Amino acid sequence: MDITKIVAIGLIGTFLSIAIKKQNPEISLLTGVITGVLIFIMLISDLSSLINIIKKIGTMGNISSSYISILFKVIAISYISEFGTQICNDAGEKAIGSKIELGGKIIILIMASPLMLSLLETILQML
Amino acid sequence: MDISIVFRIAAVGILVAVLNQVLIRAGREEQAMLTTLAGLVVVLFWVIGYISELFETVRALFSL
Repeated sequence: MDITKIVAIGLIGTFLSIAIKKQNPEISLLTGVITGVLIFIMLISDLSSLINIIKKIGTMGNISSSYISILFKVIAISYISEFGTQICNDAGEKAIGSKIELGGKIIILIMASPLMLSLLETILQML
Repeated sequence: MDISIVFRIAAVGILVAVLNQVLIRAGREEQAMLTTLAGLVVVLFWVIGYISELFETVRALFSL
């Protein structure tokens, strides 16, 4: 996926969104959202190959696959909460955006807690 | 999954804006507001379909 197509779609979406912002702010926000979704869906194939590479690196360094899957889950959650937060900030609703971000952080902390516990255990054993 | 959806949404936005002005000039403010709402609902359904597809893809990709 070449970068020029991504930039072109992004610019087109931005121009269209600005064009109808004054008469129709709701639909201009939705234009921005749909442009973001479109660009991400175009990047899916590159992303999946990247994920396979990371998995291969994980197995080569014989890191246990549970850590890798936690890593991917955290990445997915942070991406989705970032997606929501940016849309809310675009619409000017910064308070709602920060609440979504808070929710995302809490879920990520819960998900990463087993990782932290095992890290602490290994450190304590070393001492 | 191409650029046409962006153009479609922008076209609905412009159409609703024009209809809105026409109806307001014709003295029917209620219908104007209703057409704006109708346009918004149509666009919302399209966007929700795409967003749910995006979240499904992310879920499948990262095996969430």
